[in-house]
Amino acid sequence: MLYMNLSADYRSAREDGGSFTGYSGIIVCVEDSGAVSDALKEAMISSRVPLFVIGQGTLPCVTEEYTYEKGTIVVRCDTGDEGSSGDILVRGDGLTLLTGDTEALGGLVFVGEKEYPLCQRLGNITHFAYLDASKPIMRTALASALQKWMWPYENAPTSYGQYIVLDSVYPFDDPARLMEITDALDNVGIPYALSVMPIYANASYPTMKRFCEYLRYVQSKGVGILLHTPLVRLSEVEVDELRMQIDIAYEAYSGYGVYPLAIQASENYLFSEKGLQALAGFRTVFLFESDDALGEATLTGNIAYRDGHQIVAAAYSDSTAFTSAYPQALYVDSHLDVETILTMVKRLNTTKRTFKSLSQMNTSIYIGSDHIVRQTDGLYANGNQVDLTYRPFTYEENYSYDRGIVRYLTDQIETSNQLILVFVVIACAAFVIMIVLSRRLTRRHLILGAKKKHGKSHNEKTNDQGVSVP
Amino acid sequence: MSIADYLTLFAMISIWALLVINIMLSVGGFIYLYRMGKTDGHQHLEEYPFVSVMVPAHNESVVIQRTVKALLQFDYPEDRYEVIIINDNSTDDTHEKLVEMQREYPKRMLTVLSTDPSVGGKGKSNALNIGYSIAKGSVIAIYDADNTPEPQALRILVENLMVDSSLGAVIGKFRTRNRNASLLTRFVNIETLAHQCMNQAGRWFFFKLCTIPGTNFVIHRHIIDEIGGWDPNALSEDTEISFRIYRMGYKIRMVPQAVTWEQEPYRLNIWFRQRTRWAMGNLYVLANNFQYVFDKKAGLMRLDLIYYLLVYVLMLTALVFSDLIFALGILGYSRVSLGGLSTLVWALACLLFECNVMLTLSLEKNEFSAQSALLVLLMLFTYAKLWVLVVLKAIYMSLKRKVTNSDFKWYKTERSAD
Repeated sequence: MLYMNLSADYRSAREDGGSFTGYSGIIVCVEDSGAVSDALKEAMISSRVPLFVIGQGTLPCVTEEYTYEKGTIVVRCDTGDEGSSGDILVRGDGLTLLTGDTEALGGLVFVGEKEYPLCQRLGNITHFAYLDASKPIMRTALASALQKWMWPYENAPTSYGQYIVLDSVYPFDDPARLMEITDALDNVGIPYALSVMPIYANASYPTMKRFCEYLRYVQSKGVGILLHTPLVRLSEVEVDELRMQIDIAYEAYSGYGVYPLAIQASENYLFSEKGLQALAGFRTVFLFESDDALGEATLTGNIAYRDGHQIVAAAYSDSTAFTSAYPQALYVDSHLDVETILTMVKRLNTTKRTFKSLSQMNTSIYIGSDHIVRQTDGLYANGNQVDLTYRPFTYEENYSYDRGIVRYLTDQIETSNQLILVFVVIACAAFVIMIVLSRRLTRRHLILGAKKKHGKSHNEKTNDQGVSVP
Repeated sequence: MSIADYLTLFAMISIWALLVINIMLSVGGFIYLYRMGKTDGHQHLEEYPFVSVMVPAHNESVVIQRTVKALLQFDYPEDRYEVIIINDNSTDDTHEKLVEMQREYPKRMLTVLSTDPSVGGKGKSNALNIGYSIAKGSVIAIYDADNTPEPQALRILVENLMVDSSLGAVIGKFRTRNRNASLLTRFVNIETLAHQCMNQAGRWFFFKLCTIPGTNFVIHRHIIDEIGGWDPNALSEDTEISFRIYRMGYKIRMVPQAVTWEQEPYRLNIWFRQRTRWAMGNLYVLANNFQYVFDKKAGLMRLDLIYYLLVYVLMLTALVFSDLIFALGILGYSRVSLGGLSTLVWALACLLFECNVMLTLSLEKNEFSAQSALLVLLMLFTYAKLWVLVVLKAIYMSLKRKVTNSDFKWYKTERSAD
């Protein structure tokens, strides 16, 4: 644990001697009260050192004033929205709660019809009532509570920006529908970003041109664009190939004057040397959760700070961002119906979060031989300011696709590859057989030659190069 | 599709097509060499014809005595062959060395023909024409001045020429004497075996075609009379004379048991100049005979012309394009968007090349080894690439020669003491 330059020691609660000298806080997390040594119990009761108690196991040791209730519990989020009941996050069994003149620190726990704070403080004891560590959202809630507990000043910890991202927008998405979403979000007046999917070929097609015209339009209205990383498993791709794909994809957009300001990558990129190399050119990186999380975890720790990235971590798209300890992206699936998107965004707009615009973030990108910089006074490509004003594109009346040839040739090459493989296997097998035969023949000649030499004088000798010559 | 896509496609198809052709030739060559390996290469002759062995020599003082000794040790009947050394305008002590040899072998028919600048020093073809003017044999044998043929070589060549009236010439095999002199000579040795020997054997097996390699071959005198001697303008007189023999309807056969050992360039600059001359010569022959590609009467020669076209046009352009696209791709100036191109396929091509060459080496003693396998791989990425530079320079020099109408200064390959 590293937070505000604090360090942590870990001890066994069963064997601990109960000395808190030199510690600014104690966090206790055990399954049941029997797992706590007597010395530790005594120290917890008598000491005034702030205690952070997790779950039901420790609480009976430190206070007599507790309520213990069994039954189904429901943990709901606290969106900070007045009148909002929040979303159900966790259901579980068993609960121990502090009672009395407590201070609520976030979250709601329901026991039957009664509601209690998930985390509350009484004197030097802060109690996090329920933890299911297998649930990411519970871990997030715990992190948020710990952060507040350790925050030494008045008011809440520093609030970092949050970004609404319309996720996974494809060039072949219906432009009319995209415009409808854009108009609706404009009316709400909330800043948001668009994550566009990478493309590697056929960037000159009218569909792509129309898509980029739309992107130019939203870009001119201050919407930041994100480039999604290629849809490949890190473990199955070479880093040069990956970087080349990113370069191609970026150029496909920048060729139309659309400049993605950040890259969107799965979280496992941070734990892979390959992933970090692929991200190296991008100052700003938006992360998203991925099933591929363990696919290429070649690094034991997150060393992304080494490259000076601005990391925007993934929040949960169900508007349950508890923490504000780092910038977060709230992803909204762009393929939901327009009404749903609008409802979600409106709801987010009523919370106390600090939503920011990606287009206002200072950032820089090295892509191929180009250097893109976003500064307060505008966007610069290779030192020249880019005019982001929207101007309608012109289109060729009869665009020649050539798609038949490309597709046909690609298919032919792929088929040929299989034939070549079969041919090479057969040819190699034939070569091996022929080599065996020829070695046998050569050996026979050597034996016969040796016999001949033995029988009569021969004119052959070996030169200073070790080669037999006459 | 971009230009890079089209060029990649062209290069890929061309390289694979040439690889398949080479594999076919290797298979044919293997069958032929395997069959020949079960014989001693000799044919029965009632009477051996008189043979004139001609050796053009220009400043060959370092190697000439060894060559002459080897020529005088043929197991061919001594009274049935003469050796003519054309000391072609040498400025070193080649003449003196040859006179010594004449003194050492007074009873042998060893003629030394020294030329002066007024008639000599104009290249190998010119020297051969001079030597031919005094040759008495009904069969002419040619050896280079750095050769040490094995004793049975001449006899095997002549026997095979005489027993088949459809043959205009018979060629033998040549090996590298200084194989271990440098890495370059190791490469040349492998190239000689793979290209000169296996490829020639394959072409003979399938098409009854071989190209005269410039040394270690015999030819009927009447054929040289009919074609009017060697073309003095040809820089690779061997290829040129081969084409003229084809046009006369004769075949040229390879007999692998007739072996000569020759010295190969051990330094890159010497090798580069020698190969540039060869490539220029082949381009000259190709340009002069291109018309016959469309002439049905040209017979088998058309196949050889097509083969040369494949090598000097298709292979050259394919290699240039593929290397260019690769280099530009690395530098970020070009990008191939065509799908389906696989690194595996490229690796398979390398594997086939390796197997192909190793098959050739397996037929020779002391050549088939793990070290040779590594050398072949290394050769693919180094020595083979030099061929492109050689041909590009040869094209430039040939064009320059054509435009300025200038004579080519014959480059004499430098020799070294073994």
